[in-house]
Amino acid sequence: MSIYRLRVKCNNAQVEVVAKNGTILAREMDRYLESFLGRKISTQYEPVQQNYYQQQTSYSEPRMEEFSLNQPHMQQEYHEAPNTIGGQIPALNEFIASNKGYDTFSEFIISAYYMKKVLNNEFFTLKMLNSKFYPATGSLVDFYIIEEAKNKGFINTWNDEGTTKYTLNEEGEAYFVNQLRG
Amino acid sequence: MAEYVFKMKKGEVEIELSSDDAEFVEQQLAKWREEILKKQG
Repeated sequence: MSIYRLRVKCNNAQVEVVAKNGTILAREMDRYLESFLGRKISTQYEPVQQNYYQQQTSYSEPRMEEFSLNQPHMQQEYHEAPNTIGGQIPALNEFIASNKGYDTFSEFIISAYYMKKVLNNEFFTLKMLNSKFYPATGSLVDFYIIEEAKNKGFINTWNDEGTTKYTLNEEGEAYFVNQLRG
Repeated sequence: MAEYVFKMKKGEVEIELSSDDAEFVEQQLAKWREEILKKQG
């Protein structure tokens, strides 16, 4: 079986995708090609969700902490009823589906809200977010999405001992509530 | 088995594709080349 890897670096951060089918990487590469060129390209792909094998993100120097579902911040319970579905903590794909995401950026804002208000995480890293975002959407949040959110004033970002952390700020929450909430 | 690496950089963003699937890497390389030349043309 062939292995396909796509590694994206920006400043000190790095995202790596490993797949058993090239289609998933081709789609991601198309997104970067479009960003590089500043225009859309047209390529048709077959559905690839079933080909998803492994999504792994890591950071280069300074090395980030290893992400684990067992980390305490991922085990916090959520008690605010408006963001639950049937009183249960929804999976991210359910949360996105219950709101009005229409592209990767809007789904990112919904996901950032999910991390903050549903999972009660005071921050997220790109690695943490993509470990949920990719299985839910089939796409990755890349640096262009982060930059767009920063430029629109929707997220705050800071560096904590070599780890870049993000959180949805009040403006981002307002955008979610007013534009994206289902 | 050989591994093929295809690396591009623009500004601070660098993307690197690596695979042992020569045909896939060739297709991606051709697509990038074609699209970049299309823009320059």
